[in-house]
Amino acid sequence: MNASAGPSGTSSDSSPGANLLAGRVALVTGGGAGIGLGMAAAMARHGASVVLASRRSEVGEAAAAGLRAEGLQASWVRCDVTVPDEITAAVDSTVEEQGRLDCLIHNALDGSASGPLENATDGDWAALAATSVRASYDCARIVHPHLQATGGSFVLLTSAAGMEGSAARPLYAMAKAAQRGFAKGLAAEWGPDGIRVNCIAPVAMTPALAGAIRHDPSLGERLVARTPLGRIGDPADDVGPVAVFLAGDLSRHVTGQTLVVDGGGFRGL
Amino acid sequence: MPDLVVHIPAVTDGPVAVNDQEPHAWAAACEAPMVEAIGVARTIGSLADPSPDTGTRRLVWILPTTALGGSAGFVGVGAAGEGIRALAKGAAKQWGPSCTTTVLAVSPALLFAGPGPSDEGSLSAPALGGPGDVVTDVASLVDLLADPRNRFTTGGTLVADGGTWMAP
Repeated sequence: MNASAGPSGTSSDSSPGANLLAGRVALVTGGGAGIGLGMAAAMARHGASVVLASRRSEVGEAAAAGLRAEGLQASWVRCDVTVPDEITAAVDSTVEEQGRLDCLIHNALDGSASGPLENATDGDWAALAATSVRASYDCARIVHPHLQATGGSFVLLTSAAGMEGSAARPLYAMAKAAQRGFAKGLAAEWGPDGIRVNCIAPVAMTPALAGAIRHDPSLGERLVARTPLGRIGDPADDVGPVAVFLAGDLSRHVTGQTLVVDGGGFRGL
Repeated sequence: MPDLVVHIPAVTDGPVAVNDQEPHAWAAACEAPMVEAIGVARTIGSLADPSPDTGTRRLVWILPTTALGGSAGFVGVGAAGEGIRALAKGAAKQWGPSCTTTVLAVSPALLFAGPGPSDEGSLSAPALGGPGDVVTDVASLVDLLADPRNRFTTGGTLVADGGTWMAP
């Protein structure tokens, strides 16, 4: 299997020279690891000051320190996205310390319900919905004035599963699809405010996916087999540039869209 | 045991901007319809497979086209709709021939009692002249889906809005 590996956010060998996000400030929920950290690292390498928002300080602090060790601007703030007051505190502290907020990427997700629908519990859905759909709504309401002030960008992480459905994880697919629907409506609503709203649907080698592949090696083989580009993406080097694009001026006329960053595995849009 | 279940998730009237939408109103617009839909799917999934005599069971969700394109003032309705469309796909993949699923996406004008989402995404009027009629245009499609000859469609979205939404 030709899968990209390595700890997310630690590679810097593919950073383009242009500082596309110089002077910009981005907040990434679930930014302490995986795709969240990869996107944050890519944005920081383009000159942004990034704030990693996550629940666990031992993970988030270390991730921010790792980026600072590269000479990048990064900090960590505690944020459980199921608690609106914590989102507010994270956003407010970012604006107080950085003076502005240009981009919020809501990437955090909890809950891993799988299996037959008839076995799904109310709790399975509640955990997924709280961190995906409800947290998208809470993040949006809280960050709106700050993004309006900067003409900013709001980005939600969704999944191809939300577009093609999933037999294995139907509730996960449902939650991700709902976030995509949310983004489409919000793009229409926030366009007049000068705020863009888009989704990224990635497949990348996160610690969670690596763990799943260790548990079921055929999963990695199946993922690569369905991927025309022949490998599983890297959070920083493959997904990160798309976050940079959506956070910056190059995407100034793009809103309400979903960018699938999975090496071509899903081509149904 | 039903051969056909049609579920029309409730839609909340509006419009209301997300910024002005209180959490309880958001829950009613977005979260409650999805919880309802999961309950319907869970119930259908727990039923025994249909007998060879009755053939395939069918589950049809009727949603506004708002789910497809999104609409200002109806963000929660659109989010719920996209969620339910994904649920229909996942259920179709899980259930196979024992129960097929279809989403009928209809003009918002047929589902909203008050001011509903506009067709803001369309530059032209419906090709067939209007939003259609529930009985003659939508119920007839449900009949078509329930026909025993309809054996090979599942998980898809059938748009029945008179030709406003033509993508893809």
